[in-house]
Amino acid sequence: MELNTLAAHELAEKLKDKEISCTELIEAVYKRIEAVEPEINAFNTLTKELALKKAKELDDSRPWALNPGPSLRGIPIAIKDNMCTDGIRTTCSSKILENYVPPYNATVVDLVLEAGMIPVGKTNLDEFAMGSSTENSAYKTTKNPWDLKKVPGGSSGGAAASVAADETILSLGSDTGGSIRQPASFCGVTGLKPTYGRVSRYGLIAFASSLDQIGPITKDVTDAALLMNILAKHDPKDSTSANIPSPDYTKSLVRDVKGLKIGLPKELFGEGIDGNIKKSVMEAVEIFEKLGAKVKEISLPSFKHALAVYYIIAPAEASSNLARYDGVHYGRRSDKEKDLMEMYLNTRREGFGPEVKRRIMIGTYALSSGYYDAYYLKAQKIRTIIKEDLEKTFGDVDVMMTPTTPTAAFGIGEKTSDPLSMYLSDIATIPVNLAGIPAISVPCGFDKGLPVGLQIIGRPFDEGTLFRAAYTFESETDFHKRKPAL
Amino acid sequence: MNYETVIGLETHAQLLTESKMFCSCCAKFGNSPNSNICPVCTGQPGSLPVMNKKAVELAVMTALALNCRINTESIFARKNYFYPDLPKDYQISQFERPLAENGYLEIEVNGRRRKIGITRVHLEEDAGKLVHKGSAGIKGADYSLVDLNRTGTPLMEIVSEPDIRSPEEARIFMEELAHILRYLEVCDAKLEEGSIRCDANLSLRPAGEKKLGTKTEVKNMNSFKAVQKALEAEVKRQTQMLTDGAKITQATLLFDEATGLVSQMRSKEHSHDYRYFPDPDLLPLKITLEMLEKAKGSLTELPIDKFKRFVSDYGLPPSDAETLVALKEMADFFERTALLLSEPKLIANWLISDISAYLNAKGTVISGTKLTPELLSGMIRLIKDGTIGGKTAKDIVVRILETGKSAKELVESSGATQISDESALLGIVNTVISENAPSVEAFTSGKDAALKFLIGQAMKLSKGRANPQVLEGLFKKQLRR
Amino acid sequence: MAVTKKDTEYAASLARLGLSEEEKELFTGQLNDILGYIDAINSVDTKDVLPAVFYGPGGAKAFSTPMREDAAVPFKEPKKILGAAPRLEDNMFRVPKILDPEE
Repeated sequence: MELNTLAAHELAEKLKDKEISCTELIEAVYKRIEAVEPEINAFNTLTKELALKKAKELDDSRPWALNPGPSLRGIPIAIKDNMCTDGIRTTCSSKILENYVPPYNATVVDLVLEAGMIPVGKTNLDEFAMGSSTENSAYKTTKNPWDLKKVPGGSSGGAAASVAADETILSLGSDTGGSIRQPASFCGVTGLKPTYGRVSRYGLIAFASSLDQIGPITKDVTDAALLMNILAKHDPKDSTSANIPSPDYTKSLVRDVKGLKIGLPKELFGEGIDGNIKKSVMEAVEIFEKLGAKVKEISLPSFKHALAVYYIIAPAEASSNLARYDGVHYGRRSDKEKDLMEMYLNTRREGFGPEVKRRIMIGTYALSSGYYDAYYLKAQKIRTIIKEDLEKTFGDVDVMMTPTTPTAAFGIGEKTSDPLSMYLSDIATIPVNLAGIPAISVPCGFDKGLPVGLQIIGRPFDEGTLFRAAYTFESETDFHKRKPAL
Repeated sequence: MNYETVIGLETHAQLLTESKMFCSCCAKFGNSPNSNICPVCTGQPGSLPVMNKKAVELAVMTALALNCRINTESIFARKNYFYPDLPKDYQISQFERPLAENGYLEIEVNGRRRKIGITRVHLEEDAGKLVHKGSAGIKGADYSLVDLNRTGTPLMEIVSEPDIRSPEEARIFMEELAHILRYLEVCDAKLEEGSIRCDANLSLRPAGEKKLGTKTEVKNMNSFKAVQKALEAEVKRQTQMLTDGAKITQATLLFDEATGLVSQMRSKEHSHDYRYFPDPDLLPLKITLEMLEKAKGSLTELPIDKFKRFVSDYGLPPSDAETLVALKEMADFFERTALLLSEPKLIANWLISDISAYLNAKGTVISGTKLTPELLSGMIRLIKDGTIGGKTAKDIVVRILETGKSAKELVESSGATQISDESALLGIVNTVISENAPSVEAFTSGKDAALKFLIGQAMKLSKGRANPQVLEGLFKKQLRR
Repeated sequence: MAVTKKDTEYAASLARLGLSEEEKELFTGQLNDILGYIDAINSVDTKDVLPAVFYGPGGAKAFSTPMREDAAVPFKEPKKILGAAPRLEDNMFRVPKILDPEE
């Protein structure tokens, strides 16, 4: 078996026991990258030399003094190219940062390095994480490993595709409106968006500050739990970071859903959801029922407006977060600069793609004098209503389940001329970010050869229950074991 | 037509903290440009702000001193605009719910006490510095350079109600506000150095009219005098316009120290759309009961109250009290000395005259010298009991300031003790009498002036140490007059 | 609310985005579609509802504001930050002439 096709927890034992070396593992990963990257295009930057160097250091330091249980030391990880890596180009897949080299590491990067993981490269994304297909990247279009004519999803398309294609063992993605879960669903892998504040945002290049979260994209639930153990730490450099201890998530990896109360929000199972998708998800729900969970239909009417609320708040925050890209202190500057104003206008005109510009415009508009109350303020009020609705619901249920996406992966180029229809595909994932609650997507079936994802949504800081439910489901199925025929 | 002047002042004070408002860079900075920076204050992608606790404490203290209502929850908001000295192209400030509101500052104008309303006190971060190349200022420059050392320094904004009624009042308000800020040790408050900055909004209205006239903004006032001069110039300008029947248009004007005139800034008629919204990277600022108690406890007595107390409790003349109170350090030194020796007037005199003269000459403050309340009180005691004369004491006080030795020590080692002991001086007196027969003759025959000569001789012999009064008594006794 | 080309131009100028005439047309149309969809929020009753504020896990009643002790801890490598500058002169970020000052 090729080493790069294994999950981290499978490799952990082998590495610890010196059955394999870190160097071998890295070489296997890069061999795969070299073979399939020309087609998949998951990476913006590869860091092979650094990775080999780190692998050798780790090999030379064996035997490792480790705590019992699987460790992620020596495991290759791909990092979405919107997380700062000191000394390594970080572009957000935008022209405006095409040669930006951050002077510091994102906190999550420090954490994975401290844990002995080996970054293999920076993965492609929709520019500044704005998009649902990775087609908005200024550099390249990542392909879905299951069908090269389909999108991998977005914005963490490269992160998900690289895991699905075994170009890495696991990866870090970020999720603002579904950007971990949707590509995980399209690529048949596991993706978790943690509770807002559970994982530090320091060093995550901001898109929408009140919605962004970093999370794991992995081959199975166990790997996600292992990676979350590393990521879920309070960070004093991030004022929104939760200052509460995190549990050992591997303790939740038990097969038991007896009595688990599952709610199915009818608004997310309506028209607009493809029939095959609904079928796979309902079959998944039946498995839970068979194992003793209690399922009921619930209604969350406020979800109807979640998309609109998101498409005001996220662009508004983004318009402010992206103002800094002005050619003065870092990033690309236009050479049409006869005066400051001209420099600003041209730098940003040349540096940003159309989707980014569109969202900046919407956001600027929604915050501008005369419109603030009707748009931004109103949206934040509805957000309160959505949060309160969910709080009430979690009084009756432990988790909610929905299809992660309304359809399986769509074709490259299919939705690019209609931004609104692209936005509508996030209907199931967006409410989760607005409420700041955690959600995981796990593969639950196939639609004409393309993966289908099941989304499990939980209470704030209750990733444990998500892991338990997902792990149980995984142990009854083998969708997570299937690989694309690349 | 009689016009009433209506002025509101907006003050920005740099807080005396060790680190910047949202990052741990040093707030007191060195000289080389861009040496005092980090990912946060340079707005690197992915960086995030974390509030400085001390900055909050200082602002709370100031708000209490200005009699404001503290909002237990206030919000930091982003003020969005593009400028090269603002790396994020937004400033983290406070907008809808600031730290404190509705206070007042009492000032004294021409003997009358007036309360000037304080609309709000809030916290924000400072921007960087621009250096313009190719011309003296920004007008006509070829290009500019940005130094971000100052970016992110904590600023406290204090906005007054438009209650100020004259340029002189504005100057007095600024002086009093600066005085308080220095007293609270919240800010250096030096307009010339820029640790405090002041912008004014000024409008005129017909006397008796309630509605406010169109206001203009006046900036670039770099001293207290300049505040008054600039506003006088603007009052003059607006009065002339109104008299000529012209309408006042909203504008921003810069004061030119050299010409004493105000002139319009280039093309700035439009008002900004700052698109304020609560900063999602920060939680609301909660002021706890603990913080309030701590601030109240640290709240030092304000200058005006100290002045009143010095006059009533120590019986000091108002002018002396005012001088002492001008510098908190001096006032504190006075009181500590007065605790050791109940001679407030003497202590005040020494501090205001000789000691202040020394400090001014050396360009230092009391804490920069070796003088302590114990040493000062010790010296005054020796003067009181006659051990040293007034003239000697003037030299001694300088030597105490410089060496920190006690007056007693200095006098003994230099032999500069005033000799008042009669038996010790008798020898000198007899020597002088025996060596100056003509003067003795003159004195005994009724010429009092001769006594002065004899005393002078005895002083010379004693190397200035003899107590002249004792000498006088001895001469009189010896010569039986 | 209908978005006009003037609105597009205003938003673009506030955001310092240089747009071509084509882009202005395209964006005006797209903004109208998107805002048309978003305008549905007008129908939601939000009387007496407070806008969402993030307080952290404690919620509004039990939160404390994360703050830093006031200690100066210099960043070790300011040169790296300068190294990313598009144009540097005398160790300062150089910008073209400013015609609209913001004193």
